[in-house]
Amino acid sequence: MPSRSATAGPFNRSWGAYAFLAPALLILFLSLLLPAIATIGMSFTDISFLRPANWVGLDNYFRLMADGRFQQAIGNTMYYTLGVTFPTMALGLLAAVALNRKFPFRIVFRTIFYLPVLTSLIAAAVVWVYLYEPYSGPVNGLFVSLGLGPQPWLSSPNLAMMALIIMAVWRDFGTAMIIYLAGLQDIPEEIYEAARLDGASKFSILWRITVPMLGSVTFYLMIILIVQSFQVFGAIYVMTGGGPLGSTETIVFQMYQTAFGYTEFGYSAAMSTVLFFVILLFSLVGTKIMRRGEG
Amino acid sequence: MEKQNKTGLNRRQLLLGVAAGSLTLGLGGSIGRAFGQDQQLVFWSQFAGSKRVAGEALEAAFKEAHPERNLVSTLYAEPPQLNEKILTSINGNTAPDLFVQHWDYNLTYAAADRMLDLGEALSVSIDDLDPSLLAYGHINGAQYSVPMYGTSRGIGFNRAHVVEAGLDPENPPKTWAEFRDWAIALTKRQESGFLERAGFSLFHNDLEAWEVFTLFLQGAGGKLLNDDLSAPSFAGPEGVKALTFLKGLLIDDRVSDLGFGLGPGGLASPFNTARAAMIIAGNYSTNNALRAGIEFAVAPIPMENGGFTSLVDPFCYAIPRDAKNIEGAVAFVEFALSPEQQVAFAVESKNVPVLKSAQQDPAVQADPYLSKFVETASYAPQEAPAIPAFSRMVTIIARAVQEAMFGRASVEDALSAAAAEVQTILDRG
Repeated sequence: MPSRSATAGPFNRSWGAYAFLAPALLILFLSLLLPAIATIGMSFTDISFLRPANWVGLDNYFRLMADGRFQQAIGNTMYYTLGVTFPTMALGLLAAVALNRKFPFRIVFRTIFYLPVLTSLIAAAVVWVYLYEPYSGPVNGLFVSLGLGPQPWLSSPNLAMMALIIMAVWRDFGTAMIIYLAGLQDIPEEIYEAARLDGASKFSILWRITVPMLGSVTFYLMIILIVQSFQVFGAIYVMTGGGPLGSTETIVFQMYQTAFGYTEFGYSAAMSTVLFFVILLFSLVGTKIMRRGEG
Repeated sequence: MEKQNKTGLNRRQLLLGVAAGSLTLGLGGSIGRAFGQDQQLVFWSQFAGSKRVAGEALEAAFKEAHPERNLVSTLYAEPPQLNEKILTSINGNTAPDLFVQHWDYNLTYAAADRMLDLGEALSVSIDDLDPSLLAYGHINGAQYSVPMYGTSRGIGFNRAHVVEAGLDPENPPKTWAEFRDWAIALTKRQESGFLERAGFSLFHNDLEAWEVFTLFLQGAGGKLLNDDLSAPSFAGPEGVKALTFLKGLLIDDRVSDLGFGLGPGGLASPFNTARAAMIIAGNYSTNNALRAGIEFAVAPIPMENGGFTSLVDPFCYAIPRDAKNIEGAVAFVEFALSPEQQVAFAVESKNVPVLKSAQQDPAVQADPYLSKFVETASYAPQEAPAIPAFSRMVTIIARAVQEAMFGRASVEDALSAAAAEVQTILDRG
């Protein structure tokens, strides 16, 4: 049987580290964990912040299951997340590979590609509304000059989400590019040299060396983009208001509307809890796939 | 040592002095703050945008008339922004003494019994106020909010387009049939079918989709809810007739395109860029249309077989039940409802005053647009769909209107499904 001093030893030896971590842990607990626990707790009530709250058990969750609008919001969120995540990563990777080579003005190109990330989301969204303007907007101007008809980008239930995805990819692929550029610096040049000596084509080098060796970066980026996309709100608020016909209403947008528009904070908390577990599930599945890949 | 004590303070004296000074400052500050807070009248205002100048003038006039009241106001740009603040402040016991907000939010707070009954608190005669505007602040048998002003709806049209189409701007439509003729005549399409100008731009967002449907529902003799506001009545024959008429304008008569003009309004809206000849207009449309150089004119909204209808949309004062300075808040509302302030606010902001005598004041009537909106306000029903779930009902009806327009559901099915959904919400309470 181990002695008490033996089991207490590691803690006693690390108390200094715990002491240094304590302030950060306290802030994290107060700002992150406590609100998260409170939100989960609220999801079992009918809290409105105006009346005394009642315990309603799983009623909010049963309501969610039967709520067609919430199901539509889940579908919209998935569509948006997939639509943004993978094109952003692909474009980011291509831009990073291209700008990792040495050529004149590459810093200028890197800056230009990264600029949308630095732009205020709301300002960018307002500009994109004008770009998409169906009658005098430049996007439709381009379409017409190519012999294609003008499209009702933000006013068609079939096109509005796609229009939002295009804007998000434009805005986010600079982030992917920077992260991939950092990852590319870690790939030893010798590997590329060996591949070239073996006569590998440029595509083979990209596909068989660069992409696999950026695996951990790709995974990190994917999780970041998925979490970010699941939480989209600002662009939708400005550009479509969730319409037309709810085609751009995502979970977070619906949460906001339910909480502050309809003062149903309990129901909104249930939506938030579902979103939390969906994101957690995605993260866990991603981690598992990644570990299997590394194995 | 003794010499030192004679020439300066010793440590004990210094500490005593610091302690006494701190106590004096602390007590003085606390008393001062407490005194100041007793006198403060905290007002959260939504007099923004076109109402900002009028709101500032009102506050300045109140300060001048009541120098003893320390009015501290904060301006919020949009009703949802103010709503977020009010919800959290009510919950945190930091609510203001008074606020002015879009009426439907006030009903939500009032339904939870968090507001003062102004019918009892104010000494203003309720009979002097416009009943159609006042109805929006009445819930559970009490007047929980009182309007400062309202907007009303009419047909806004571009006079130049009307003349160009060979129509008489002095003789606007008086029935649905005439309205349809106008909308068709005003529509301009290229040979390719490309819409150059909508004869009638139906709606640009959910709220307007609800609004245009409600106006035509009323035009067909229907209303949104039954008399005791316990059940929806918009899916009946009148609702079907109204939505069928609107759908006919869009699909059969092609007076506009599906989704035309959806998006942000303001100066870039189809009407203000001369790409739409007619819209449902409110007082708020005036300034932007004139700034955009549109020959703006307003006419009442025709009912199906003659007569007119309208909607009013008030912004109302409300006082939290637990406000610290109820007396000051009541004084401000009574001041704002005085004839002079009502006229001054209306003329500056171009909104319909709630005071009936102010609506007929020569200064109000001298404004060609304001007087027209005062007239259209008189066609609004005297009762209001004053339910706490109003904003949810708007979303549901707007969705039904668009489902029918986009062909996702028949008119009857869309309205029936919406009515069932509204009933569920009303039953939930």
